[in-house]
Amino acid sequence: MMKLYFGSVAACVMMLAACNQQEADLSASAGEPVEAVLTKSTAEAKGTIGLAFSYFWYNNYETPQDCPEGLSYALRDVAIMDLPKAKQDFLLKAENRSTYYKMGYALSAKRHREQGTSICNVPEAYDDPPLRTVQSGIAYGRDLDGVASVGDDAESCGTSDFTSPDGVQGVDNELWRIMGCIDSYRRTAEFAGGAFEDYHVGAYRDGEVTTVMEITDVDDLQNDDYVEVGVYSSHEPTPYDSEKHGIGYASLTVTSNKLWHNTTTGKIVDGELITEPFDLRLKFGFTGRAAEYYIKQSRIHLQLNEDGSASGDLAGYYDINHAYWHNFHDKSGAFQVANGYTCASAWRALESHADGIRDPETGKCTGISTAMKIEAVPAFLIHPPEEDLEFYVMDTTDYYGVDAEVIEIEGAELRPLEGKGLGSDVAEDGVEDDEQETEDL
Amino acid sequence: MTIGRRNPLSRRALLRGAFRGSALAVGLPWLEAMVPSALAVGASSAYKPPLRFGTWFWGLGVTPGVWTPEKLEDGTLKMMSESMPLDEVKQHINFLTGFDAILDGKPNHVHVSGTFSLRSGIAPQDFGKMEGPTFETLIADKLGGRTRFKTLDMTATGNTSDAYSYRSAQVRNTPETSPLAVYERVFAGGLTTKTDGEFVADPKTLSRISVLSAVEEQRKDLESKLGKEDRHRLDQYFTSVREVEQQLELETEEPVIPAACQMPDNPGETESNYNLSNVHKNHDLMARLMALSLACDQTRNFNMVFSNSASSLHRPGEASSHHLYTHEEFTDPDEGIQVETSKFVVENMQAFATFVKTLDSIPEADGTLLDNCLVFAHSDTSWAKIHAVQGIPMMTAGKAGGRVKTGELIAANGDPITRAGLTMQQVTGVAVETWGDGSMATSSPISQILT
Repeated sequence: MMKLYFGSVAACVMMLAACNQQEADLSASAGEPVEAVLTKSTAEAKGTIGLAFSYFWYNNYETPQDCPEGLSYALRDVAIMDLPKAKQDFLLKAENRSTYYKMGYALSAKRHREQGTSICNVPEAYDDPPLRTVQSGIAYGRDLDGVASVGDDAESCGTSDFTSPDGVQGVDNELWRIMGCIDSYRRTAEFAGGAFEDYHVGAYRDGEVTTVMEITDVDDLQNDDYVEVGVYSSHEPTPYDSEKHGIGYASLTVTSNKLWHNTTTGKIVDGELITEPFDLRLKFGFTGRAAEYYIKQSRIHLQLNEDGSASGDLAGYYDINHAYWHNFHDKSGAFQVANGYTCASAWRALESHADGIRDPETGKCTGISTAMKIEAVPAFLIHPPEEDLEFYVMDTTDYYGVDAEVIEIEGAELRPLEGKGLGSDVAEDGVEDDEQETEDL
Repeated sequence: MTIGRRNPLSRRALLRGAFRGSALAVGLPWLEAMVPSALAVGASSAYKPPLRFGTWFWGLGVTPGVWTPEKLEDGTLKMMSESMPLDEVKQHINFLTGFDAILDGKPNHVHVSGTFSLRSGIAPQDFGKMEGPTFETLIADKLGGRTRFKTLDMTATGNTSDAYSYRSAQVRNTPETSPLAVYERVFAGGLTTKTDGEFVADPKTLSRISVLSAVEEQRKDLESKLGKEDRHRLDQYFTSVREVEQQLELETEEPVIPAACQMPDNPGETESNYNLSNVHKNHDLMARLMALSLACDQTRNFNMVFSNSASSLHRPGEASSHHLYTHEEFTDPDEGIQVETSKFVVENMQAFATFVKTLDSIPEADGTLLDNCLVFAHSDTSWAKIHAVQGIPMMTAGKAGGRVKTGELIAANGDPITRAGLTMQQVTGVAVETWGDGSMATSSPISQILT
């Protein structure tokens, strides 16, 4: 049922005292004619804070010391690796780069022919040089397991933790370790610096992806020992201005797909929301790619600002399959070519740097720690009626080259993948990808 | 008497009839048929040039920070490195920036969603599937009913797939792919400037009309046997056929050729492919032919494609295309941009400058052909490296017969990109108040460029 409030919900929540005063004024004027307004008393209803994410991407701390050996090899580098030194030097000259750039696509197409499928679908088929990883030892993130690992504890599967820039030890963020030397994941790299951040944030800006959040049962914005938190996908766009700043107070409808409804509880301490761990699953997929955020044991720290905005971080563990699909895989293989890594090296790095969610049977870690930065603007959330709710998962079996049981969820409908996205089988001209020059980026 | 270009309908015309024994008369609104489309060669200067509208497309956008001009204190525009080729025609141009495609949760189909959103007002759910007519076809319906060709579509790349004008969801206008094909279709194939002697309609044209009419009964019979979807498809097809009939009927009337009309030379055979030098050559020849087609009132609508979405342009002898450079090229540490990629943007802008100058080179009435045109130029993306659909670069050129100001820089604030399409439609007289779907629905034209 739609709730009708007197004035702005967010404004009331941000100024509970003022709203209560407003109610007091109404009460004081009892007996006098007042305009008939259907209100829901903020004294009766616990406060609600609605937010829309205006920025959601990895919380990366870049330093010049991160990659002492240089950036990770791109497929074009692998393509020329076995050529004579003189030939390599020739290709790397500025005037010959046109040919050098083409080498990665040529190797991708060759491997595609060899395997009969995208090389990203069979990442173990090739033994590419390992990814170079972050060596600085400093990163943003959270201590997810309560242990400052130095590479000798089984729970972290032999990985070593980072120290935060302000000196906190035990920071778990192994995903940054493996993506921090990939050109496109770094803002400052010389090749495609910032491309992935722009892709991810761009998806929010153009309305392809929307994430909304609701904090309910709020008694006190500064300190409250119990609140309820929901994080949801929406199909309606968060508005942005031309400077790419989120614009607040849009009304956004929560998705009808329960798969992308996530709830937890938490508390507010000195104006900061701190949630209990929960598994976060959200719609994502910039440029139409089939992807989701699926971050287990997520915990959010969010500073609630007086103007209704909020900023903070989310930390948790990616299932390594989802980490691979979401961050590195694409069906045509073109994405890896253009962004400074190979699918084979990325997959192996994920396996070797997994540091959480141990499988009790195998003892292997199946999750990799990550940290994301959040910026949010105030928003009004509209929840779909119960009868409109659905429960489905997109059928990405073909896209990722995996069995249906890997994708299926009990009780969820398996829906055909919508749209083409990057790296589909058929390009605009109807020519199969593997029949044409691989340039479908 | 046939109401035609030489025998316009009287502005005092009334519809007369009888109702229950009483005579009645119903007045008529202003109709284009009440005004001759053009006066004959040698007639007085009362000739009022018609409004023309067209689009000009280039692929892969621009580099952020080095294309959008800066507006100086005196109101003039200072071009940046990628817009510098436009410096000599900037007085004829409006730059439209800060307009976004808003996808409402639909995928950003690379090199597609931006163009489709801008042209149809609807973000596509499926790759390559336009979900409605593109706005310039609605304008063509308004402006193009009384010329030999409702619209002329051309692509300088030689590929018929490089076209972005859709009559309906899946009916794409097929472009001419060589200057010679344009010449033969428009000029060698039926345009005559001869006005002395008695006009006799081409018997071939008359027979084509009768052939089209002859299938009427079979059409109705066929329709009665089809399902709803197929009937709809057939209706779309026969609508197109009817438009052809109307164009043919015009050819049975004596043509009225404006004074500015000149017959071009045969451009001869040219090589059509994505080689940049060939694309420039074909474009420049097509621009001239297009301008003369407008000046000769053979059409009032056009679509010109210089480079395709996901531009395949390449320089002679180079392995990498413009598209590949956008994704692969290193960012120059000193310049802060992808230098080679940026050079391709400059080439696209050089071509647009040539197009504008070509329209401006043909005198017409008290000014030039460009003064009576409205050209809408745009790309498929803003920053190609990440396929961004926010801030897709757009321009207009020409004064649209005095309806539009020029020399303006419009910086929107993340407004729906459909405001541009709405503006183009309203300027050209299409009766539309609101246009676009979902978050891109708008009833707000870009009034800053209107006189």
